[in-house]
Amino acid sequence: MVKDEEKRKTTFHRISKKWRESVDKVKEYEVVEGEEKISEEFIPFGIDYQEYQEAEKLKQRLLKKYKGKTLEDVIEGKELNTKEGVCYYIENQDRLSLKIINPEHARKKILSDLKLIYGIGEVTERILKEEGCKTIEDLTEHPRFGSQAIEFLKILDKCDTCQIVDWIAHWFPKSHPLILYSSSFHNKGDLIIFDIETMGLFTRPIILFGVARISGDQILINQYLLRNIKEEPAALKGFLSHISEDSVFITFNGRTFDIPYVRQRLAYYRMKGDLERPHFDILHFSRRAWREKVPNCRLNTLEKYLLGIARKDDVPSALVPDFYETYMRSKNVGPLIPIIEHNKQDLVTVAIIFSRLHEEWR
Amino acid sequence: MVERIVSALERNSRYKNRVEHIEILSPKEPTFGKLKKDLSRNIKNYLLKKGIKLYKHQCGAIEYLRAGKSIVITTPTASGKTLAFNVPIFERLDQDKSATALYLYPTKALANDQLKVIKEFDSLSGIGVNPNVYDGDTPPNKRPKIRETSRIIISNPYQLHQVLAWHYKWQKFLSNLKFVVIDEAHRYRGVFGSNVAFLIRRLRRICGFYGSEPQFILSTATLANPIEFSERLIGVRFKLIANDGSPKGKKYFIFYNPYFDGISTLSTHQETKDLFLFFVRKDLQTLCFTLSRKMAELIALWSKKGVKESEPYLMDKITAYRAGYLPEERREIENNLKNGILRGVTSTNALELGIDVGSLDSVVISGYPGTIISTWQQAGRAGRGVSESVATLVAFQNPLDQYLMKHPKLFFDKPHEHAIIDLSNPYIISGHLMCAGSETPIKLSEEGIYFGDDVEDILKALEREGLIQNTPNGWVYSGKGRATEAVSLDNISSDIFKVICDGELLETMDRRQAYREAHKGAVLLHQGETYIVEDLDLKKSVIQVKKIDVDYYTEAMKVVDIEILEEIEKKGIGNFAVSFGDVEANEQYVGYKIMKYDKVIGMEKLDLPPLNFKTMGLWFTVPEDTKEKIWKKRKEDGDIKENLNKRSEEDLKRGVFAGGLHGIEHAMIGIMPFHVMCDRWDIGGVSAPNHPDTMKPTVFIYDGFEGGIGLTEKAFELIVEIVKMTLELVRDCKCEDGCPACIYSPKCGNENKPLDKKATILILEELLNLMKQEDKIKVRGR
Repeated sequence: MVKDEEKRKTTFHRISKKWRESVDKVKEYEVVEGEEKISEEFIPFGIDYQEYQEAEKLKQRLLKKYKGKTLEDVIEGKELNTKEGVCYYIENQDRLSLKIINPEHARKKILSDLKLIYGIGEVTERILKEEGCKTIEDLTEHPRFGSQAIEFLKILDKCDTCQIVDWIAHWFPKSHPLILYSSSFHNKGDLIIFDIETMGLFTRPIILFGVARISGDQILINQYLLRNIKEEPAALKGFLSHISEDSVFITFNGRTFDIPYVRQRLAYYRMKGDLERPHFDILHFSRRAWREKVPNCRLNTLEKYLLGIARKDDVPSALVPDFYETYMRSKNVGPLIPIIEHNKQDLVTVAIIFSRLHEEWR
Repeated sequence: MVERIVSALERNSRYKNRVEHIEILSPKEPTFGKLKKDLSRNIKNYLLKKGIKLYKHQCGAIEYLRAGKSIVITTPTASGKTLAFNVPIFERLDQDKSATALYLYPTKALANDQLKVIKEFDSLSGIGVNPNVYDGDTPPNKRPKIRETSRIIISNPYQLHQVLAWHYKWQKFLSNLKFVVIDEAHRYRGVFGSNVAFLIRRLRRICGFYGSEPQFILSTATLANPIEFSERLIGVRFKLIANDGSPKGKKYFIFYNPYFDGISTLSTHQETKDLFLFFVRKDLQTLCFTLSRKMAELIALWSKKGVKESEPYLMDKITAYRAGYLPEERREIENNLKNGILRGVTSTNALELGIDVGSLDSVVISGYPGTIISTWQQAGRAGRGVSESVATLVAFQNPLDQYLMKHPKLFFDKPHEHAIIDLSNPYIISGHLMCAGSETPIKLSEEGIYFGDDVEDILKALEREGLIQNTPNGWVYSGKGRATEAVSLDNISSDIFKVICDGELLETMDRRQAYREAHKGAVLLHQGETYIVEDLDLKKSVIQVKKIDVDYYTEAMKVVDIEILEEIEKKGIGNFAVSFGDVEANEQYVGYKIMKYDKVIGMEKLDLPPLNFKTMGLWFTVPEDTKEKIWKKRKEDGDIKENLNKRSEEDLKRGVFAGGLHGIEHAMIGIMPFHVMCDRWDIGGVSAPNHPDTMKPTVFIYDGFEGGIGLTEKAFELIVEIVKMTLELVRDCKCEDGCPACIYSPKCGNENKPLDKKATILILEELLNLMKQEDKIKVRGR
């Protein structure tokens, strides 16, 4: 009987090894289940051999350098206690002033586009403007457009961003400047800039949650790191703790990646979390603003061309899972360092680009 | 009319000898049923508009489903199965406006076909379920709306496999899920079926997560074990709906044997073409099923040639149909079959499934499809309402086809095959545990019911490889690649080779196929074109081919040996003993033959590493004295006497005995698909006059799949019947020294050498004698 038991387990191990081989061979593919198309800017595939080799060298260097070191030794942070367990919490801050157009200006811009009213196209708008109706406010008395105008003004006055965005998005593409303007109806302090690092494209753990907030001329960066997979629920909790009634999300491709991913993981653990908030995904705006000027609209490309930032010792997004896995297997914290740095830099870049967009479309 | 045509065939000197048997299936009057409680007005309206009166079996299905049971429907093609479950599903969806239903079809084409039917039901009844197909072709921007608003969603298992991890997006649909329909369920047998069985368990697990517990409706071809099969596939209790109430026309079932006299002047393919044309010319709309895509193409081509001069108007009325055609082309053929424009279509089993092409007058089945299920499914395509129809099975020279021709009673009396679902295959379980672990954490207390008793040990093994991690919330999938990508439903091998032609992907195949069919120098057939393999890169899993027109083909030769890893069970029947257990087979492709028609025109060597795989098999030994016993009889035979002055007696004796064992192995593999649902190519065998593990003459039969899939396990249970039937087959075969109909195997790695038919019979008789003997030694021991 004992021998049988042994044999059975050997079989299971043999099978598991086989699975590992085939799992490792799986390549992430372009479109994953879920309705959203993963945009090409996001897809981390297409990493070239040189990039791969450099990353591999970096990994080896880090493994050597940090051998035997603990996470606390290397990255200042603390253990965070939540109802869902613990995770590792890292805080940083940096100077950064966000230049967002002021709400009055935004309001003016929005109201001066009469095409937001049902029945008004370019021609009608021109005629109306010639007749002296310069803004939607001028239309409230209009026999045909009045009621619509009043309704829109009500929404605008409430500063209900979701409704404003929905209204605008009904008439304009999601990348339209008018939509970006509505982000200025919020306090800077309510902006939640966030970005996650994961073990792959969906259905695997999120290993790092990065949340940045703006306070005065400072950007406050909070990161929730999984030291092991067990800590994912706590990190989710840590991330959720930043979200209040008034929160507004600022992300790069978060609409198709980060938000559905977090939702999936919440459902996975049967955790509750309300992520219905206004959301400004700057990927779409960036594409509209700079598509002609940059080779592609990946975050790192924008960063390089617009902000002149050249990352040193960065882990390419595509290799984050690999680095994290190396960490899990070796227990060497080295490969974690570029992941944390990468995430932090992404957050800062998102904030700056968000600011740049406001300047660009002022 | 059909009667006249059949008797014309019987009288025609060209055909009459080849007609081995005609079975007449009598017509049947309809039996209508009554419901305990009336249907709602909406549904009555629908039935009224369609002029439908419910048959008894449909009423039975409705009552069971109303009572909350899960059911399996096994009535034949065109008996109104779909209506039998659509009515009660619509009834419930009408009463409960949030209730939903999921329909799973094995192919996208079937799903789209079914959508039409359901849409019509929906609009005629006005119930409002907004049915939709949701599969790989569904545009991403339409998906959210379908999930939110469709109450009947039609999909396929492959899609479900990918979708389950996204359950949060399906919350509304899943939490209201009342019914899951699985049509063509007999397709989910063997390895594919076992995978689907665990996929269904994953679905049930997620449903449980959202508080729903759907009823299941299985629709299947006739099986020997419908209830057992359903309960294993789904994991809940089932009720059976089997008594068909629909009317039937008279049907002639012809067994046609080109090899009636043991030899044939024309190949089965040529005979098929002639028969196909015979029926088409008699103005019977005819569908011809072939075993391969290539034959579907060729028979259509030859037939067109055949009518080109004499009946040119028939040229456009004949076509081929198979997988690989563009959807629009397929739609067109389906429609032209339905409206009668096409008079003859040749097809692979792609049309065996329930695609609605209407019913035809005549079906020609070129070669036994390997299962009784498929044969009846294909034959069921003939028969329009209550009018007469004819089905013709054309035999190949192989043992199975020949056996059926010689023993038609067996075909018509035999219960249909058992459908196998293996719920204990650790390969399959572990794969689905990874998938389940990426859908929601696996909690041991809850998962035993879905994944069996080994869950914990398997999880621990997976954890050691970093694929799963134990956390306070349960076991969490943590592999680097997506679990659902690594686990494929219909092929256990995830080791896929790419066939590249001029830098473009031509097709994919697994490692075994690559070794067998795409070694260097092999001729690869793809959509009727020939490609020569220039390189097989085992490391990169890439096959480079070049398109070159050649008139030959290749066949790889392999040698196989086998090792017993563990005996799991052993049983004695009289003095005969058979064992079952884990074995490891090693296959090595050593060379290949270059063939033109049936002739070998050349041979080449191959240098490929062996393919090892662990599987399950059965084996039995033959008493050592049998060798002497049969030699005593055999040496009196003329053929041996003749050889005695050429070779040594010892040499001949060895050859006779080995040839007998080898013959048993071949004949048994040939006959096994009759008892166990599989293709003969799914099973392997080895025979050895002195096997190192048993130290005795031994015959092994094993599953041709990694880990084993229960084929030989079933054969182990039925060993007495199998040995008996093997003897009958070999003994009753009219050939002298063995032929493809008895002991010659089309896939022998040893060129069918040595083989000795008389020795095969003698050893088999010896085995049956052993079975009849009481265990005298044991009795004496007392």
